Amino acid sequence: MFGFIKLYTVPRYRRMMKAIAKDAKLRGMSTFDFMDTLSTQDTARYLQQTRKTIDVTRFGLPADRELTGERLLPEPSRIARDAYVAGDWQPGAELLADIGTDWGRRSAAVAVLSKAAANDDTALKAWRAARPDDPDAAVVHADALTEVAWQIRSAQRASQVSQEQFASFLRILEEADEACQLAAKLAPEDPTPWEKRCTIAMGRQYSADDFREVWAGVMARDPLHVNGHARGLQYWCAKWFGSHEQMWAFAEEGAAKHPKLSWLPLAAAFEMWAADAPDPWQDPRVERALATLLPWLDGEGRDTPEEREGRAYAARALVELKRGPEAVEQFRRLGTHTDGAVWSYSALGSVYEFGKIRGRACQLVK
Amino acid sequence: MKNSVRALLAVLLLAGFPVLVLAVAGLLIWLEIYVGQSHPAHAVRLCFITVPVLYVLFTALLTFERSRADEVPGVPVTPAAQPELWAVVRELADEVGTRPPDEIYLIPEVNASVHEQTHWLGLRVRRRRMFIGAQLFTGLRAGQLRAILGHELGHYSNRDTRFAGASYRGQQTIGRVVRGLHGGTWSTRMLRPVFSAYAAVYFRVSMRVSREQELAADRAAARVAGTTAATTALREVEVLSTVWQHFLARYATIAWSAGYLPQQMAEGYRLLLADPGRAAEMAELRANPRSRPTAKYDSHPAISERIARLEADPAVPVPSGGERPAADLLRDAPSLLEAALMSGLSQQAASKQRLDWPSLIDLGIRKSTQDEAQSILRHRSLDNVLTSLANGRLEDLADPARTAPPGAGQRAKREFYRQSAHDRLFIVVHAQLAGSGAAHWELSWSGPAKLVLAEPYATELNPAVDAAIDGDPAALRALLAPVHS
Repeated sequence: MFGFIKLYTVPRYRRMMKAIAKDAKLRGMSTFDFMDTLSTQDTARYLQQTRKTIDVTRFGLPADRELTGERLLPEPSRIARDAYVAGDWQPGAELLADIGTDWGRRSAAVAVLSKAAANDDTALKAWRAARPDDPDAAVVHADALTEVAWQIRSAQRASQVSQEQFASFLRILEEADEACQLAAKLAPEDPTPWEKRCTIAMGRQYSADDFREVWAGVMARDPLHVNGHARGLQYWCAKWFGSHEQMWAFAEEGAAKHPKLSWLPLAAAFEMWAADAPDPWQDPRVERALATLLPWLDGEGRDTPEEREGRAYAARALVELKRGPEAVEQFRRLGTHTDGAVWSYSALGSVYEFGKIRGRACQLVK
Repeated sequence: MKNSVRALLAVLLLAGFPVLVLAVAGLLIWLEIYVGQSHPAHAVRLCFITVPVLYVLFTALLTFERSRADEVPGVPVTPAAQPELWAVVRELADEVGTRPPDEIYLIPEVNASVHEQTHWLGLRVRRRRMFIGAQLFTGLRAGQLRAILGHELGHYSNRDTRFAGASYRGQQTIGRVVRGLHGGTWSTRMLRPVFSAYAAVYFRVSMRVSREQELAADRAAARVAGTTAATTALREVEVLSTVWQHFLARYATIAWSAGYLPQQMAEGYRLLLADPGRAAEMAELRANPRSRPTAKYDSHPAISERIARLEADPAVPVPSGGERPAADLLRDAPSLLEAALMSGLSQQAASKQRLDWPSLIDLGIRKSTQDEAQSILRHRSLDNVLTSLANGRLEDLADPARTAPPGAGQRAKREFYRQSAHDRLFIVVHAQLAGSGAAHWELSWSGPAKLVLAEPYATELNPAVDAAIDGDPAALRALLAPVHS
């Protein structure tokens, strides 16, 4: 109801409604019938039109229309995924074998393959049949189940998720949990199944003690596991099973371990912002984190699988701190791909969110 | 006597109820005349509102009047036909200190009550009628029934509060009018707030009085039937009522839409009450009666409070003979109780055929399974559906009301539809097997009816259905070939 009032009172939305009404008239439809046919992306585009746009190409950035929600994948991962989609699991298996014990890259590569396997498990079935005890196939299988479960749940708030969705979600997560534990047995030194279990633990509402046990499994195998820390932060969020204090404590502790984890306080500030906390970006911990993160991104962190996630958080935080030129520089490095958790919370999609914040960065420089 | 003042006020409010109706009606008529003198055109327009409202108002008034002379539910019981029951009731009335009822009826409710046909706004009594639920005879001991009847008669004993009877009567009448206004046309709905508000005031004023009356009636019940009989009766009525609801929904009307009713309704209820498989559940209910009042304006204090009060008073021993089943007070109990229970079903009940319990349950579940199967198939044949499954299209079979979330990919969709498709395939298959006699349902008083499958279905159906859901319906096709219609 209030959303409805907003459509006609907030100038930005009113301009959007005007544009929609015009197009509806062109099609001979009523405004609301026309709106029903629009996808979120379509609506986002209307909203984008109404934004005071700035020509970002003047700053050496790709234009808004060139942005894409697709993940930017490193070449080997992309090849392995395309082969998997075409029905061939072998390049994926070879990729994971090549990566070996580089846990950060392994986690990312498993995520890419399991996303594909979540859509179609034909090749994965063949892989598992050919190599029943292969820990790589086992962990992809477990992570794919987790992805399937989450697709059923959707990213909506719990109140928007139907009982049937929750029933299937929990049933499949249970299966995924067992698959993870099996994968962990097949590769006792691998932190990946433990990291994937952190996500499952949230869905299955593990108690803090049970979660700590899983977390200890990750830490014992790779104390600097980046994706693991991202999952851990989520668990300790107020919206899941923690509080703002627990989340910050977790972020600070992680950031102190290594510069590649120094984006954690930025992620914490972002979660605070998403929870409508006042001025989360003005927290001194944000600036301190940037002081470690930015040099690392330009030095040791270059071309690591963690780089893009760190840059995305940095770009967002720099805009909020009104450090325009530095922010624009981060966006230049990010390019056209809008992957990154920091863009993914907007109901209008990551492309819209990325474009909006990038526009603000350019405004700051002007 | 503060409570007497309250009771008197309640009686005045009761008298004011028709006055309220007439006042509102008068106001409308005056408005109509007033407007009619200056602007006749407006008056005509106004008629569109006033006429329906006046109509409803007078109907309400008539409802109020009629509540004293409506048709009587249940089966009448004459002193000549049931001398033992009448003797007990007369003796109880005498002991409680009020006059015995003029008529007794057995009704199909887990309840007993005494109503009066009254004149002069509920202040003058014409006939007193006692209503006794047939279920009470099935489930209570004689002593417990005495306690229940003693309680109801106790409401009319003026030992505790003057005007007690009158304010009790008023409550029943106003409650009936307000309930009568529920549903109906828009104009009735418009008026309901006015009368509901009046009823709320009335109930608030009379609430204290009526609570006191309920407790006084409980004391009367304990005096005439013994403390243990009174407290156990309160607990038992809760059980009887819960079991009756379950009995009606899951047993008695299970084949209603197929056109059948049980031959022995009362006997079925008795068997359900006596079932050892339900004993623990019923004992649990008995041990933990409700501690909250049933409804907003329920005059009864919570059962647990009533029991506690009775147990706090000095114990009265139960008179001998109280341990007999209550049905012993009746002559030819089975057929009388059957008639009383049947009187609660609607007019259509007469057109239903009567069946023995095992056949009734089997037929009822078969019919509902087949109806459900038909709505699942929606003009498709089972063969069509199996072909869909072979093509991996679970969504063709799954509940169309549940759609997968928009972001879900192929696999997620399959997983989401899987459970629903699985359940619905079973319904369709069971319906087909039941149609050819290879499946039937067995009556159980302890729980839901059991599905009994003939061989080879008992052993081979489950894996065949699982395989069909996974995209390979060949085994299920082969299994169903002999019963294919």
